[in-house]
Amino acid sequence: MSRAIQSVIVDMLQERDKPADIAPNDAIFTSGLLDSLAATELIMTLEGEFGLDLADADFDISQLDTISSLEALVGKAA
Amino acid sequence: MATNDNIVQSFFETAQAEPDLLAISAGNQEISYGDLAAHAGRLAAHLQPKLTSGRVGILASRSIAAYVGIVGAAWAGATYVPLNMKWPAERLIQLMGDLELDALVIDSNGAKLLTDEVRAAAPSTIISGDPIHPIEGYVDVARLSEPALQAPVPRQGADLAYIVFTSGSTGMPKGVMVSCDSLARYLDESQKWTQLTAADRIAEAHDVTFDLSVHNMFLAWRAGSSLHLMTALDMMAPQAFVRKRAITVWMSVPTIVNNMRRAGSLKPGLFDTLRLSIFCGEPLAMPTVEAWQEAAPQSVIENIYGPTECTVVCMRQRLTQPPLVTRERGILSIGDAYENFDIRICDPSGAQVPTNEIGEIVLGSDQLADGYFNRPDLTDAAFRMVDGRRWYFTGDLGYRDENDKFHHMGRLDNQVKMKGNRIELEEVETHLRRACGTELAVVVAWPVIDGSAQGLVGFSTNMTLSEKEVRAEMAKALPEYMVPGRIEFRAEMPRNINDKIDRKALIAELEGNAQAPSMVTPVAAGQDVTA
Repeated sequence: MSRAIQSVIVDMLQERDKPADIAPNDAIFTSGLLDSLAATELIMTLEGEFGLDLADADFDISQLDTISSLEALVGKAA
Repeated sequence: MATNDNIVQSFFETAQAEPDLLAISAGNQEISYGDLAAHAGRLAAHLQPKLTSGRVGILASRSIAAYVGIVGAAWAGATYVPLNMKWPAERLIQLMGDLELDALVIDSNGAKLLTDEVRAAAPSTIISGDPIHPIEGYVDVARLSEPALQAPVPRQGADLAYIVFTSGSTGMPKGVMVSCDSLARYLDESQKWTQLTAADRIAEAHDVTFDLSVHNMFLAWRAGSSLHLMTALDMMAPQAFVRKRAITVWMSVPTIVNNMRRAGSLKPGLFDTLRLSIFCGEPLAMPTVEAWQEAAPQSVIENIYGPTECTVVCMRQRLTQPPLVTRERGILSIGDAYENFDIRICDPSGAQVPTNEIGEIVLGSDQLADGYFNRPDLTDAAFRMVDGRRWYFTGDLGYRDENDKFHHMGRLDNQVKMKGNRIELEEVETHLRRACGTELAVVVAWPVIDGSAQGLVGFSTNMTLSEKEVRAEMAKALPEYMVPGRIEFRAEMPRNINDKIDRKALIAELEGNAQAPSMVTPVAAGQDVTA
């Protein structure tokens, strides 16, 4: 079973000693809170655990930037 | 009437003629030429009386605020100096001190870097360039009370347009100073082949600290094109960005294309709106460029070459059928020189070598930069008078073929390109030695794929430290992408015939280990794809 997407992000923040009290609409990557390596890790998680095809021509990667848009993305795939 | 050599004069003229054209789009925020000019004019009125050094820092990138800052600083008659948002506090403090900035323009990400200690080193005038979202604790450009300066302050061609920092072998980055004249010559030459119009929608993939941003913004502003700012996230999977925004002009390092190919997202016909694609900063491997051509069938593809010291770019080669390949490396050639350049291929004594022989690429032009900020020693070493003319010695190796086309063959020194970022390995080594408390420490770029370094590996003889400790210490002084992803400890270093540490032997060791079946190819850490 896949984890909730919020806990994926919180785990990533905690692993990197970052404050994990993140609001649903806070920018995760464009704010610099997490870096592009973390984004790569998230992409792999989304593909592996959540079954998303991020190579799709219209996959909009900006949806990875907040918990609420991630939830929408994951929900759409389910 | 005397002409104004201010670098935003053409922006001003476009804004006057076509104020409603879209200038910049960033996420869901957009600003027209007219509005950008209005904010810049107001910012300029605020900045102009404060100019002493004449330098205004930009601690902002990939945001409308960054461009309000650049246009406003230039409008006021200042030299704009982008500060890298990836620099750690120690470096920001030191460089802000050296630069004696008169003011700083920030965006919300820049504000986060202004901790108490950094702010103490910053100029007293700090303005948020974001016209829509105020940043707590700072005056923002929309609330400045001075009446706007109606037109850009007149400047001379010899005045400095900008200072852009690039890696320096001394351990600190060096600031390349470019005059208004050099920039104007660059734009005149580049306009001939880019032929931008107001209908063009340009994807801006670069931070303003990278001088390819100079190419995009100033050419766009002459033509009335729009700039579409990509986030670091967009760069990791740019397909939706380009498609949704119907982008017509693309420019990036080839690494982004290779990432897309690996992810399986670079599909034929993907980019049917692109008419011009430009690659730069790294060798452009033929499979890379061919895959892009399939994905963007309507697009002309240009490979461009140029160090920051020549003002952005000085050579280019279009992808033709058949392509002009640098056969030894399987990459597209760097082609022809800009018309305002003389190119020499020289041996170590500075004498020219015959056709088809490899030597150092040496550039002569009135487009060259003025030199390095506060470093006349480094300037004199790289910019030399030969035969009554000033030449820039690039440190790049190359040759001229029998058809007068140029080919790039690598570096003379230890400069590497990592995802388009220029890195002097000596700069990283200076900090590795400091962190390890030993002179016996070196850094190599590894692995190198398609001519682009994927990561850095440090080697140290100080066996008492851990990798984590060394990396943490280095991260205090270096941006994250320059901190080696891996540190190896050795009781002894291999030596070459001159008794120097043998980098090649260390790389061979890494290659050998990687080929052993039990080893997984290491993921290079500490880098960023934002190039």
